[in-house]
This record gives sequence, structure tokens and C-alpha cells, in this order.
Amino acid sequence: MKLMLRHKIMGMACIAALLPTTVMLLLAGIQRSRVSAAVRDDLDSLTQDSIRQLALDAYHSCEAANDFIQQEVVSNLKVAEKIVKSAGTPRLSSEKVEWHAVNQYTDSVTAATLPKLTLGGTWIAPNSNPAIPSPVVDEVRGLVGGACTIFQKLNEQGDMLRIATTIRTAANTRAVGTYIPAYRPDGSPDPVVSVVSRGETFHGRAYVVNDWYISAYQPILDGDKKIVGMLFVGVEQSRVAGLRSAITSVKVGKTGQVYVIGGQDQSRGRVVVPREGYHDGDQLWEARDIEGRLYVQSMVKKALVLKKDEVAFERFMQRRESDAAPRMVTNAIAYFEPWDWIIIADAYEEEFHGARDKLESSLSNLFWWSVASGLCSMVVALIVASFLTGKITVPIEQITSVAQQIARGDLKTATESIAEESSGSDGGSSSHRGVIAASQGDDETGQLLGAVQTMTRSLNSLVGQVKQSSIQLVSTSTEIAAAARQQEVTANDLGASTNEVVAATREISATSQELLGTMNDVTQMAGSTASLAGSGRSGLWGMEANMRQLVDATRTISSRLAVISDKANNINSVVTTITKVADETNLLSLNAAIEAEKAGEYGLGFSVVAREIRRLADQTAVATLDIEQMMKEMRSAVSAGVMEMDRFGEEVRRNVADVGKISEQLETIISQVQALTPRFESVNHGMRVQAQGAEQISKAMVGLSDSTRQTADSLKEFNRAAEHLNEAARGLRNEVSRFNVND
Amino acid sequence: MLMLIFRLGEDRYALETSQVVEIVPSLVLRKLPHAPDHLAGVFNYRGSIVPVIDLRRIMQDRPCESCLSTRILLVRLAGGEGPSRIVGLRAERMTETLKVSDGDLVDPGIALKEAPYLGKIINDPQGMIQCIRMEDILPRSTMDRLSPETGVRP
Repeated sequence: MKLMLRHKIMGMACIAALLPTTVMLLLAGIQRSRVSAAVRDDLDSLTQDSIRQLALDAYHSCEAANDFIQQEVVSNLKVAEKIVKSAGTPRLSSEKVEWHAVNQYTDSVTAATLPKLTLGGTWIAPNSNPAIPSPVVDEVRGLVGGACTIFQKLNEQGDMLRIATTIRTAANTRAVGTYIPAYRPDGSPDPVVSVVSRGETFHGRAYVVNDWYISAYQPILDGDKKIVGMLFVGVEQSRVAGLRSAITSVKVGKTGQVYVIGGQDQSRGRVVVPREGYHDGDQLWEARDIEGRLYVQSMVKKALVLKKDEVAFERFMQRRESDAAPRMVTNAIAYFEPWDWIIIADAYEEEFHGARDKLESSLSNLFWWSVASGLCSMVVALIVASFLTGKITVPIEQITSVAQQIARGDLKTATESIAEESSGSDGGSSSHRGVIAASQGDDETGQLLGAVQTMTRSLNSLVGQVKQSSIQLVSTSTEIAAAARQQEVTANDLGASTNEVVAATREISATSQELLGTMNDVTQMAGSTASLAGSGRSGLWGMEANMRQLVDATRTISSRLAVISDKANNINSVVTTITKVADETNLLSLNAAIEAEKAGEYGLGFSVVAREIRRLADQTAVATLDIEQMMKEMRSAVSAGVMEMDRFGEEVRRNVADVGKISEQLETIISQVQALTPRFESVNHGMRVQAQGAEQISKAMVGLSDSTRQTADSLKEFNRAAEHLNEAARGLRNEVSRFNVND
Repeated sequence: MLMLIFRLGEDRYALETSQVVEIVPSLVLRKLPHAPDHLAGVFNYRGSIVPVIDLRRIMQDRPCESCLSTRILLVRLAGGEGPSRIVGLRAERMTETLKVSDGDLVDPGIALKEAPYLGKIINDPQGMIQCIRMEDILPRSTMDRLSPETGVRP
């Protein structure tokens, strides 16, 4: 408690000092990174703009140079034309000369015999030695300084053979004997030859022997206005010394420069105007950056699609021979199409980062200064806070110790310690006000001390009285509790006994109920047995009567059959009689026939009569035989029927006797079962009465048990209350005993 | 000529009627002691004693069945050189007569010494009928015993 207050005040002071410092540092940090990013973006765009401008400047310089050279070529052509004209009319003489014509593209040699070309009668002889002057061409060179060549038409196809020139080969001889084929090796028509063949003048860029020229070609016509050859003047494009120096002198940053490489065909990727580290004609096509990317090829590809005044950019890491480590290079690329020049301005990004680095370091300094000043102010705040805390906490600690003594119940010591303080500080005076005034003055802390003292005194007297009363209360409550517990035990015993009785009664009641149910079932079964037997008996009576009728019917049938048998016998005797008569008749007819035969002719008619009689007798006999047969069958059927009926009658009679016996037995059963029923009923009645009695007992016992339980519960409640009282009294006594009072 | 048809068992036979006196029903005969088997007995015919020969006994060695149609045929026999006398012949199913001409009689071409009484044969649609010669029907010994003195006077 003592330490907590001090810590709280100190912590508050610390936070008051720390919070503004931290906020300031945060703001400084955020601002630093924002400013740094903005500056970096601005510088990057500035760098790009500057190199774009440089590339465009170089492009415009080239454009200006190109215009200038074009004009020069035009004027050179006019001079050359004048010189040719003054030399005389061109003509092909009848004399021939042998040539070994060399294709300027493929270097293949063709032997050709051509007529000599003369100017004003002077033959232009082949001359490859630069030391020996050639007519016309050297004259032109002497006057205007450009290159000049005279061509002769080699064949009808239009191939043009150089017969006099100022252009040197690699071996430093005049490039005489080479020719421009009308069709290039890839099959396309040569633009120069095709234009000249139409009788027009060609202006433009042309590849001559081994270099590019800004050139003009004009046809040479003989007296008949027929093309016999052509005149060439030109200025070598890459030898424009002023332009080259202008381009190479440009610096970008510290080491960035502008340089030019070729864009297409032979000069693709080849250095035209070198920067530092490259030389004229170096092949850069396969150059790679440190990641292995073919950056020159990439730049050329980008450049070839650019239009006038458009600039593309390329960035890559590169390490030149002079560099200690790879550096990031930004390249601005422009394409000057008339000369097939790719102008590249490169800048090393690190050289433009100086300003940004300076800014960042100053921002960083600002940040660290802020940190230091924040720490200083915090230390000062802490020192001041600790001093003030001491001033506030010392009197509060004293009062706290007195209060703690009171809390422990040591009122005696508390009173003494207050008295001690007053005497110790005021030199024997017993006034507490004096003590407070001496140490603290008359502020809130002093008033607090006085109040504490008054409170201590009052408490002292109160606690003494309470102690006395509480001891008496404890003894009384203990007695009450003991009495209540005794009573509760008694009630519980009673409850248990009642419960046992209830359970027993319930069992009796349940058993008698079950028995009652069983007896009811038995009675019902006896009743149904009796009724079943009764219905069986009446059925049997009906059966007996039927059987008797059957016996009578059988007897009647038998007597009828006997009558039939008698009649049949009668019929039989009649039939026998008929048979005899028929026999007699037959015999008679036989004798008659014999007698008639004896009578001869007189007996003829008689014999016919005799024959007829015999036939009738025969038919009668046959019919009689049939009747006899039928009678025989009938008789046997009737006698079988009689026997059958006799047997049946006998059986029926036996059955009747059986049925009579069964009927008698059933009678006995019925009478016995009917005698049973009233006995069952009396048993049943007794049972019911018993069950009701048991149930009443059970109910009464349950009521008794409930009231016993209620009594026990109330006693328990009472007991608990007594215990609570006892506990409270004890607690009071304990509490009070903690206080050490002045007796 | 008129033939009387009768049967002995299943076989049919025929007798000429010219010598027939009368046909009478079979009667109870008076048996004669020590008489041969074929002499069935005697009976009183209009005052005279007539012997009766059982034809089935002679031909098939067994007596005739006793039926209504079993009758006795009285014939007049010329007893050798003595006067003729009446003899009864008993046969079965004696109920029919048949008119035949001489062309209907066929000679079988067989003569048996043991049965000299067998004559020609009639071909009838119901089968063959054997004719019997009355004169030869009785064995000679029997004929001799039938003396004319005991016979009937004509």
C-alpha cells in the first residue's frame, strides 16, 4: 500500500514525460519515409527526362546533319555533271576492253568484254592505283571533297560496272571492276539501278563497296540519248566528324554517355559512334547483362518500331571493365531511320542518387536528435516527481500504520502510538492538533489524523461492552441447540417405523389386488366353458335328430330297392316265356317249310309263309335276348345298392349311439362347471373386501408417515436455526475478542 | 332242293329234307343201358319208340349243348335190305333252311374211310357248309342193332 501510492505518482509523471516524446518520434519516422519515397520518385522521373532529352538532342543533331549532307550531295552532283559535260560527249567506241567484273555483294567474278567508254574521245581507262589520277572522278573530288564514281552498263539487265572511282577498297586500291547487280542476292531489284534505268536521278542512302553513303546517282546518256552508264557522288554517312564529336562529348551524370549502333542488315548491333569503352565497328549484338539477358537485342527490337521523336527505355544491371560492382543502367533509345541509327543515351542511376542520400541522412539526424531530447526531458520529470512524492506520502504512511493497528484490533497500541507521536513532536503537549501542525500544518492530512484519534477512543469503549454480552449469548444458544437435536432424533425414529408399516400394507394390498384379478379371470373362464359345453350339447342334439332321419330314409330306400328287384324277376319270367314262344314258332316254321317242300309245287306259297314266320321268330328272339341282358344288369345294380344301403344304415345307427354317449358326457361337464361358478364368486367377494381393507390401512399409514416427516423437517429447521444462532454468537465473541481494549 | 342247316360246335352242316319226317324239340330221353355213346337214348314218338343219335358225339366225340335251339331231327332211314324206320338225329342250332340247286354243290374230291357220310360242300357267303349223306351216317353195327321188328311200322 505504502509503495503503491508512490509508484502510481512516479508512473504518472513518467507517462506525462514519455507520451509527447513518443508521438513526436512516430511522426518524425513516418514523415521521413514519406519524404524519402517522394524524393526518390521525383529524382527517377528527373533522370528519365534528362536522358530522354539527351537522346532526342542527338536525334535532332542527326536530322540536321542529314539535311545538310543531302544538300551537299545535290550540289556535288551538279559539279560532277558539269565536269562530265565539259569533258565531252560520252560514247561507246568500237574498240573493246576485257573486264573481270566482281559482284559487290557476293564477290563472284564474271569475265566480260565491253566497248570502251569515251568522253569527248578520251577513253576512261581502268585505274586501280590511287596514286595515278583518274579523269573526271579525281577532278570532282578535288573540287567538292565527296566521293565520285563513273559506271558503265555491263549488260542489258542493267548491271552497273565501276570503271573509274575515288572509293577505296579495304586493300586501299580504287574499287574499279566491281559492279552493282540489277538484282540483289535475295532477288529484290536494286533500288539504285531500277531508278537509274528509268532515266531518273536517285537520291538517298546507299551501300557502296563497304560503307554507307548519302548519295546521288544520275544516268550518263550518249549522243543518241541512250543510257550507257551512270555518275555517282556521295558523302560517307559516318564520317560526319562534327556530329560524331557532338554525340560523344555529351555526358550523362558522371559516366553516362550517348552512343550509336546500327539497326538493320550488315550494321545490325555494330557500334557506329562509340562511347567510352567501345570502338568503331564493335559488334554488340550478343552482349548480355549480368542476368544473361541479351540487352542489345532487346533494345534494337524496341528501337525499330519507334517513330520520329519517340523514345523507349531499357533498364539493366551491367558491369563495365572500369566498374568495381555491377550498376543499374537506364537507357533512353531513339531511332534515326534515314541512317538506320539507334541512338542510345545511358545513365547510371547511382549517380543521380546523391541528392536523395543527403536528404535521407539529414532526416535521420533529425530523428535521432528528437530521441535524445525526449530522453532528457523524461529524466528531469522523474527527478522532480520523486521529490514531490516524498512530500505527499510520508504523513499518509503514518496514518496508515495507525489504521492498520486498529484493524488488527490492537486498540491499546493504536492509542499509545498516537499519544507518542503527539508527545514526541510537541514536547509533552497532549494536543494532536499540535502534532499535525508541527509535521504537516493544517491541511487535509492533519484533519484526517484527528478524526482517527477520536474514532479509536469510541471504538475502545464499544468493544468492551459487546464482549460481555456475546459470552452470555453463546452459552444460551448452545443449550437450545442440544434440546432440539434430541427431539429431531426421536421424530426420525418414528418416521422410519411408520414407513416400514406403510410398505408392508402396500404389499398386502397389491397381492390381494392381483389375486382378485386372477379370480375374476378364473370365473370368466368357467362361465365361458359352461356356455361352450352348452352350445356343443345343443349341436349334438341336432346331429342326433338328423341321423335318426337318415336311418329312416335308408330303410325306405332299401324296401324300394327290394320292390324293384321283385319286379325285375317278374319281367324275367315274362321274357323267358317270350323266348319259348319264339322258339316254338321257329320250330313250327321249320317243319312247315319241310312239309311245303314235300308238297312240291303246291307247297311253294306255304313255304314263303313259313320263311316269314321264321324271320319274325328270329327277330323276337334277338329282342328278347337284349331285354334279358338289360334285366340282368339292372338286377345286379339293384342288389349292390341294397347291400350298400344296408351297410350305410348300420353305420348311421352306430353313430347315433356314439353321439348319444358324447351328449351325456357333455351334460355332466356342464353341470359340474355350473356348480363351480357360485363358489368362485364367494371367494371373489372375500378377496375384494380384503383388498379394500388393506388399501384403507395403507392410506392411513401414509398420512401418518407424512405428518411424521413434516415434524422431523420442522425440527431440523429449528435445529439449523439454533446452530446458526450459536455460530453467530461464537463469531461475535471471536470478533470481539480480537480487540485488545484498555480494561 | 331244300337243305336243313344246323351246327355242331362252330361248324355248319346241311341235310337234305326229302327224308325228314319232322323236327321236334329236344326232350328228356330214356337212356338205354350198355348203349354206345352216340346212342343218346330213346323216346316215344306218336306211339313208336325212336332211337336218338347224337351227331356231335359221332363227329366230334362230345355231346350236344342243351339249348332251346338243340333239336331232334326225325328221318326215315332205309335199313339195308329190311324195311325203313324212323331215327332221331340230335344237333345244335337247328333253326334255318336253305334252298340250293345242284350247281351249288361242290365235290371236295376227298373220301375218308372213317367218315363215309361226308358229302359235297356248299359255298355260302358266311362260310362253307358240309353236306351229310344220311344213309351212311350210322355205323354198320348200330344199323344192325336197329332191327325192323323193333322199328316203327310204316
